[in-house]
Amino acid sequence: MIEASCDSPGQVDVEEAREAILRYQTGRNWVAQVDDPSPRSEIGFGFDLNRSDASAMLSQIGLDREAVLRGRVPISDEQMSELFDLTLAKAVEWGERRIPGFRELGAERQSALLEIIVWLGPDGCEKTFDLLERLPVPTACDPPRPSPWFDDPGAIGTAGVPGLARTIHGSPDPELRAWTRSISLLYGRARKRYEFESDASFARLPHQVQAILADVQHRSGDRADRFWSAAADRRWMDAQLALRALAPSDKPQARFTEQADVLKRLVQDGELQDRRAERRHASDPRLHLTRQETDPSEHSMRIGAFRTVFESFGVVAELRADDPGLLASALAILPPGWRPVAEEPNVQFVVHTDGLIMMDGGYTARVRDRDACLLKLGTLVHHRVACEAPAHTFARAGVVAVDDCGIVIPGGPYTGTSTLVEELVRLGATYFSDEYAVVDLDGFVHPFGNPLSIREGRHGGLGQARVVAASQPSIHPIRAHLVVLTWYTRGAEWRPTVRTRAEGACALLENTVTARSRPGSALMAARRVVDTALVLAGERGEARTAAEAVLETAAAAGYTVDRSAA
Amino acid sequence: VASPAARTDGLITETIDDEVVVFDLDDDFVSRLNRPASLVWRYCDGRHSIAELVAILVEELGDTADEDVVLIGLDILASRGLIVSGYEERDAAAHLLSHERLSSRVGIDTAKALAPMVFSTWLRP
Repeated sequence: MIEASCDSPGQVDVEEAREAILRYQTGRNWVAQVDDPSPRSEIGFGFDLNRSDASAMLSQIGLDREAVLRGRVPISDEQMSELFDLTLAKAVEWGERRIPGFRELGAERQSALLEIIVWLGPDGCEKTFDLLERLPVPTACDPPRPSPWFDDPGAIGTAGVPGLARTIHGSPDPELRAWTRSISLLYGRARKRYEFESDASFARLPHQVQAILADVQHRSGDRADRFWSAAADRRWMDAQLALRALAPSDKPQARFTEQADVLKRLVQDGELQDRRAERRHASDPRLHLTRQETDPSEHSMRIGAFRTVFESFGVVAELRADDPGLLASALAILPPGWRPVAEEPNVQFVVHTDGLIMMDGGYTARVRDRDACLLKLGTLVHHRVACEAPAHTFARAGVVAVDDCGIVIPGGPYTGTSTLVEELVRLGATYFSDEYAVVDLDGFVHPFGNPLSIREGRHGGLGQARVVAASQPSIHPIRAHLVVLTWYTRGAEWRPTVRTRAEGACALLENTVTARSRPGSALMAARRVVDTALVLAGERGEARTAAEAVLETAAAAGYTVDRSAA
Repeated sequence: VASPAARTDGLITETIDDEVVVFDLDDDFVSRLNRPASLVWRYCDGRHSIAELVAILVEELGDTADEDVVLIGLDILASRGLIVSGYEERDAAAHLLSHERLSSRVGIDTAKALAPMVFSTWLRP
């Protein structure tokens, strides 16, 4: 038998369970044949008409099972609700009787277990719970420890319910296979919901979106990250697009299209406001969305125990990790020139060994691979510093220097800026950054790049750090004397033309991180950069050729590289 | 005679050399006005008539500037929401006709340099 580890009596929060389960259920007024978890007839909120006590339960709400089963009688919305309450009450009764420590479990866990019990019915539960109890893994209520119900996804992934499903997948009993498959699916969803609901930003989402999110995450796993990120950030249009992207032509995924349509309708009905629109209409109190303050207790379990507070370009931020080694590795991706401080941070980043990244208490990303996770964290930290820096303006650009000549190449990801910077560095230019041109109030461009590293390649939207030989990153700011507007075209020859400085300023502005939030300072910074610069533009072919041509242009103006360093 | 007035509300502008960069705070568009367009925009103060604008452009750009240049400029500025009163944007046919007249009069290369142009970009969030 499963052992309970809590002795103090608790309560079952039926209301919360009801809300949590119905959040994921659609009601049916007429009988329907379903295949999940096994072929059966259902009505109402997933009520199985084949369960042994179906007749008795239906008669309690004035319905005849046979008439319902034959499709002659519908169930009204009120009866549906009543029937669900009866089902839930029986599930609670069954759970208390069958699962040791059930009352002491947290409300989310009780809800998730009750969902399984409601879904499987008492007969199905007896079978599957028998199997669960035979598993050689311990169970727990509070405090959490590896359990076949919820915790330790890594261990459970191989030893828990999914493991159970795999173990008996080859069973000759089709019913047994169906039940184990079903509990495996439900387990995944319940665990995911439990995980989400521990996340403060999830709790802030509207219920309909929570339901969609849980379902999408359950069905598509990590592929739902884009959707989750957009939803957590309340960018509903992006969330809708992300859902559409998850829905190729194969039939099972048509659900994503439906969910995208639901989102669209919610946006159209004004129930969800896109953050972009929110910003535009910030002055209109009817349209202004208030973000709830994060309750520390809601995400305290996600706060790493190891921390540092650092300052970079005037931004004071806290970095936390749940492992000292991870924190030490994460320090390497902090912006150049950061220093530890003992001040109150106004930004917080948390990274976990399981790849979870949180920012200001909200879910931001999950990247399982450690290196990729650190790169993602680095991108987030750099971007946040770029957004918050009070006295510097950050424009996405590559920057190198030749003598005292700063060369700025505006361009964000996928524009080939990094490649061109790399070639320039190989040819002897001094590396400043392949990520941002950091402009101070006087128009000087500051170095911003981790020493000797340039990102290369893209996989899953992330760059990979690569060491560039023969370069020492500069530590001194510099005046820009050349702004190069260029884009890669296969086979193109580098034939740049001189453009106006206003065109150069516009290109910088387009790439300025704070252009929309602080347009005045962004425009001034762009102007100051081009004030002393020659602006060249043209398509380029291979980076090497273009880099040589750029250096020749600099040389013509009297700036030459130290070839011995190359 | 109506005198066109350029919009000033909700804009941040910066003159760089003889061009103007206009940041529209309402829709996050950045527009670069080339020199002829900048001249038209600068003198659209609600006090200069179109005839006076022509005279200013002739003085600044030379004899090749004429009413078509001013009208092209006003059309483009109006289409970008940068004119608030005193001018109604003409239809596309009239606008095109002005371009054709200008090109046939001064040649394509000169017309390119003379025609007011506005290059707009929407800033991504």
